[in-house]
Amino acid sequence: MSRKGIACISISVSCLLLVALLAGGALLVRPAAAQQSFAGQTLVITDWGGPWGESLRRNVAAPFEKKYGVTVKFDVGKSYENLAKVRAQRHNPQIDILFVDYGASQWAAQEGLTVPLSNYAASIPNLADVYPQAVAPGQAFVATRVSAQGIMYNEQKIKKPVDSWAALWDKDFEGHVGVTGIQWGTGKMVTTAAFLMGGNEKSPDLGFNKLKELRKIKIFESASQVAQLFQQGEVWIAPQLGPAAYALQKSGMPIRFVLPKEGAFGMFDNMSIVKGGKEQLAALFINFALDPAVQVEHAKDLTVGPTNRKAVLPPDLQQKVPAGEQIGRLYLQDDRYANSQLPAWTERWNREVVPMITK
Amino acid sequence: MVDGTVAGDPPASAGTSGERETTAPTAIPYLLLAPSLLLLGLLFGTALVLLLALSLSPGAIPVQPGSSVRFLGNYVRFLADTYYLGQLAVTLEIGLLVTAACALLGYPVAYSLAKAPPGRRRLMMAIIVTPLLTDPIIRAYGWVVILGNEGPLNRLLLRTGLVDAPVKLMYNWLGVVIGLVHFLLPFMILSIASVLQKLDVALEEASLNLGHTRFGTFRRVLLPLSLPGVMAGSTIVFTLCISAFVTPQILGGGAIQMLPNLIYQQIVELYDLNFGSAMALILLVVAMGGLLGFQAIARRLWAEGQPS
Repeated sequence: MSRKGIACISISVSCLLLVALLAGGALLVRPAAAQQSFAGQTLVITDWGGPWGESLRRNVAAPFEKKYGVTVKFDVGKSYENLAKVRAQRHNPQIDILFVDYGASQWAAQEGLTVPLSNYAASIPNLADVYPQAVAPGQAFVATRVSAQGIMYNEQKIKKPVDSWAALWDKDFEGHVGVTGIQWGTGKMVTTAAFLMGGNEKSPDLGFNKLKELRKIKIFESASQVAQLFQQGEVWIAPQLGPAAYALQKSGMPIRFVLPKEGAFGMFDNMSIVKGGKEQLAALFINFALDPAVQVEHAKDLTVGPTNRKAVLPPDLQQKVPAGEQIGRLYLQDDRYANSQLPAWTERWNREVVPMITK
Repeated sequence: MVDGTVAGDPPASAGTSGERETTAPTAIPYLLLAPSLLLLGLLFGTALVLLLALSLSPGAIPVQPGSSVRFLGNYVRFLADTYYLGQLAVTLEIGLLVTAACALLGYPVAYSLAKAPPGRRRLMMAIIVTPLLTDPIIRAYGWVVILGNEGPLNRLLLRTGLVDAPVKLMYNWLGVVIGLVHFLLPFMILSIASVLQKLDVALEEASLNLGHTRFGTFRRVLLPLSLPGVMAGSTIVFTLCISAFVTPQILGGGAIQMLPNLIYQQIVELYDLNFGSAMALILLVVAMGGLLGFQAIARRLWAEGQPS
């Protein structure tokens, strides 16, 4: 009995010593140990799939997996679909990072589904170098990349120069014009139309009145859907995100992408830390995605703008993507306001714009 | 030895157990039903109660806050609005159109299926059921490729000179109907064939012998006798059709907003669970109405078809 007791004590003591040693070691080489502790874990991040997902996998997720010994899984869907998943998993989160558009990110923060980045400030030092436009109020979430939304057109079918959103209303292209659905970028199509009437998202009446002038339009909900419509020859001209347009161009389609004079939209893709998920690991991933070198590689691959001001792009790429000063020149819609108006806009959209598909 | 007794036993025991069942009713059928009833009651019942509760709370766009219709605001918003009633009508129209098309297209196939020798019947069955094994999204995108402006069908029409410009075959109601008919036809064929198979061939032969033409035989003998199959198939096709979501979404190209698409918009896109639930319940009531309607028609036709 007493011998057993001694054995027990000596084992516990040696265990304690070992723990103390490890802890001491960890203190000495803290970053390395911090990396070690995540090995074998799986981080789940939402994503849009397509060229976005492939590029995020190659340039961000894969090197992150290598560095931390973890597995990164993608949960693919549109922004609002992925928001719906996080909502449904509120009590048992399966997703660690919500990577979606501004509108969905804001809903998630508002409903307390995510935690502010400031909770993990020490793990996200790169946040200090991010353009202020890319950080949400209260550090609720941060954009890791920015795309410009301009006009994509088929240069074989359209020979006239295109430099204005008004081209979507050009009667010569009637029957071959695509417009984004009401959900896309939280009502960006309404704002686009309002631009042409001298307004913006705060004057939706102007937008809807202009939209009602459209005839025989195609309405699409995703970048992949409009790419398909271009390939089928159904659509010649449509609003599109830079990365999607350049991906289609790379595939050999006769595509041109222009930033209209009334203003191209800056579309931020935002990462939030899901509450109750692997919050610490999620914070490390976000920091990794904000790293200047990682952002440059991702930007080159996807033709997308970085959000870290230390990420310097090669000159040829600077022409194509919003970077540096250009971010300031992009039109940033008040998505917070647009979010609050979306139910009413959807109601009007269903009645006033959807019938124009067949008119 | 043991084998021998077992092999010899079944006919006798089957007979006695059959007699026993008819003389003394047991609780066995109810016990057998209990698990599925419990499961349905719990899952379906709970979901329904939740849906009803949600639908009674105000949604994102409340109707006259504080008015007398406080709890029914979402229903009023739907039922007092010609837009939503119009979309309900579109849903029902497409449902009826698809059901009729399935019945017309499915009957001849079902007839030849019922008359085919067993070997060929198995092959036909496999072919008929194949569309059901494909994912609805892939099936719909298959049609997108076929029906597109530059798809094979339009290219054929243009090359043969039948048309001058591509015919609009999708992103309208036609595309939705084509996609839904393709999806739902197997249900109709199998329902009708299962009834036709059981009909006595002698009835058909007698009718022909007694002077009816082939068409007369079909109209006066075959059709009335197989109506239960047509009606069962119609019930399945109609309910699946008005609750279809993926096919109208893809082949309608946004131009056709059937009720399920509007429910998706409210619940997933706008997170207005309240209005979405109200719409879902309205669709459920309409589907039930449709079902009862079909059954009433079936019963009347059945009664008319019987020799007086």
